[in-house]
Amino acid sequence: MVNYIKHISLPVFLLLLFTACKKSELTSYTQPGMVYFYKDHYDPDKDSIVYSFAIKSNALQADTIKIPLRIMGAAADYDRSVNIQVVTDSSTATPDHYTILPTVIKAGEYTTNVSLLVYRKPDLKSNELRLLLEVAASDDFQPGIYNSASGASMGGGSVRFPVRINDYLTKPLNWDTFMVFYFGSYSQVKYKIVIDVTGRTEFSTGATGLTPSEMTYFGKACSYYLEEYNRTNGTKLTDETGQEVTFPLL
Amino acid sequence: MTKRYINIYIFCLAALVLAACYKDKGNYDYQAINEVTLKTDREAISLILPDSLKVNVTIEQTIPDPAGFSFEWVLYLAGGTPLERRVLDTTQNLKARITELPGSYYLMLYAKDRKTGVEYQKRLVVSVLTAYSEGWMVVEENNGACDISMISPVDTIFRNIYSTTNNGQKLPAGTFRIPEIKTHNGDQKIYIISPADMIQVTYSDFKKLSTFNEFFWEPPVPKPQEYFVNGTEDMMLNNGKIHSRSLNAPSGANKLNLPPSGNHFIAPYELYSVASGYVVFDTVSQSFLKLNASSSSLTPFPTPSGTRLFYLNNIGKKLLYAELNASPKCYAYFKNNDNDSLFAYGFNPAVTNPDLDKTEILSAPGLIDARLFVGSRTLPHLYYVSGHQIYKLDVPAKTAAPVYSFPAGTEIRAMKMYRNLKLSTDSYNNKLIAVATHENGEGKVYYFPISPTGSFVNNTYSKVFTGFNKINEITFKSLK
Repeated sequence: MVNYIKHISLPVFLLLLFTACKKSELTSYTQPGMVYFYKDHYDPDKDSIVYSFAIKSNALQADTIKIPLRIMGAAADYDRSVNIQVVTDSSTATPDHYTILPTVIKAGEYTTNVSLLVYRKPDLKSNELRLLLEVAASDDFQPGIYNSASGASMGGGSVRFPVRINDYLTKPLNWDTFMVFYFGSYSQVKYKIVIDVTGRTEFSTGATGLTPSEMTYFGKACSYYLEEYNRTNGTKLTDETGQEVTFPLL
Repeated sequence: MTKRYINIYIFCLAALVLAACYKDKGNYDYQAINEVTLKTDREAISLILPDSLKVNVTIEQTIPDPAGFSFEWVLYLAGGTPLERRVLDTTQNLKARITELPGSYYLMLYAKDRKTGVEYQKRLVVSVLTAYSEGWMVVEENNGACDISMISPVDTIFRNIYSTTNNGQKLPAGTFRIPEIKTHNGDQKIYIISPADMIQVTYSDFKKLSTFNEFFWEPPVPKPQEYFVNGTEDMMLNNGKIHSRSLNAPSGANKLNLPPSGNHFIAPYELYSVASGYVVFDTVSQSFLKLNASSSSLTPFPTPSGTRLFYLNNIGKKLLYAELNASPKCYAYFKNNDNDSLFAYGFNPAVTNPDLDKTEILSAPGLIDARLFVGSRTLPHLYYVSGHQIYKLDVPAKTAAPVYSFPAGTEIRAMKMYRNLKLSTDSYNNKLIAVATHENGEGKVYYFPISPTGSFVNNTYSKVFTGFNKINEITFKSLK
């Protein structure tokens, strides 16, 4: 019996051993199409957007906010629709303040923008309204990256994107991280001077943004403007909190 | 039966163990390698454009093979990061036309053994020059316009360089300054200043690149005086106001900024060291200030504790001239506000207590009204012009005396110290003064070598170049 087991089991074992060496076929990875709000690390509006009609022409009654989207997976050879919805329990804006225009990822494309039409309503003069957008499932896409931070070498993403809308001057999102070095601490009065002197409302940084040399020029131009204003008016300009307005670059 | 199997296992195991001890004699076939030496008929090469480059190479090898070698000759800029490399030739002996801009280049020879695939290389240094690569630039004025000539190191004079390159266009009348030409990050910038304009020209042939307004974010009314380049910091003086920029910045638009605020009128003299940055003298407050070129702002020096010889933040005198002496020491020369006393202040602006020495000058004829100055970088001496004479002020001796007198009626138009910024071992570095004169309607340039005591060697000049128009300025241009 022992010999029987030995003489049978050894060839079987060897057979199994060689079978284990058989090369398996490769299988490709597949996943359903997904889409998410894309965060460009150098975009000051990558995490949220504050849209203020206060820095626009008085004649402007509606405007379109563009929010970048990216897909996960391969591009398709047909147009695909994205379903953008509002998270109502986290939003204070009502449908008369906005319209979400249809969002489509075109054939062969990997990116597009959500087009959010916002309206200049009287209540925005005193209230800032919040709108939380969310990628919902559609026939073509599932929600993608839930939330990941961007880095210097890699963008981030999320399935939700907050937008704030108002009609009064609001602090730019990159004031404390970038603009503060050239303009000092924020106030609405100071921001109004910056807009009047430079003719700009946005001061982007990074590879495609403003250079330190140009930002220094803007900072000094504001400083000169304030000096002249104070000299002409014989008093020092104060902001909305009563503090004297100053600029750091003299 | 079991015992038999155990014996087989033990035998196999012992065989494996013994096999592990077996000396691996290998199946190798050691062969001597081909030892190769590349020998070129030239090592350090200089050529003056337009020219071609020829280099012959011989290959010394221990095991020649009929397969031979493949070759590649590559030229790229030396120093900094070479952005472009040009393959000049792929034959054994190089023969190529050089089209590169003037500068120092590396010529690489790569020779690959076709049999073994082993590559050998050799590097040569090539200096690409033009007739205008090095020499004294001379700004001449004639018939209400200016042009530039150059005196080469071998004493050849090239005339009307600017107009020749720029389709006959001349420089404005009164063109008076070419600031010291420095090389930064592989680039050499040449600025030419006239009463109401400043332009930049190419270092290779003086082709006009930009005009006054293009230097600024917000151009001031043009009244340019000086343009200083040190390290990564540029500083321009226009009508007593500083316009600066830092080159230590990301790529992108980088222009001269608005001047520091405040009521300043800055004297046009250059005091700079890496430790202190730019130090300037404000003629309004009669004090020295520190410049932050990046933020374009001025800050006063702090008041040192205790009693000092003088205080940089409160000089209270009129500045005549200031220059770096033996680094880091600076010398500034003043007259008092009543214009009847002269002083020399020695200081190191980079330290907490900057004052080093304070000297009241007892006798220095003409210094109080002098306009042309050259400071020694090795001795406590100042050379200045008064009338047709050059004086040397010996600060510790508190007196000045003429070191050379031109014939009466000679107008001394410019005076500069020779500084070869490319070759620090040049024996004339800071030991030769060039002087431009106007004598009987003719412009001349003199070279005065300086002896170790500070006097002119043999009390006279070593060379003179004649035949110029009225000279407004001379500036030495070093190799890039």
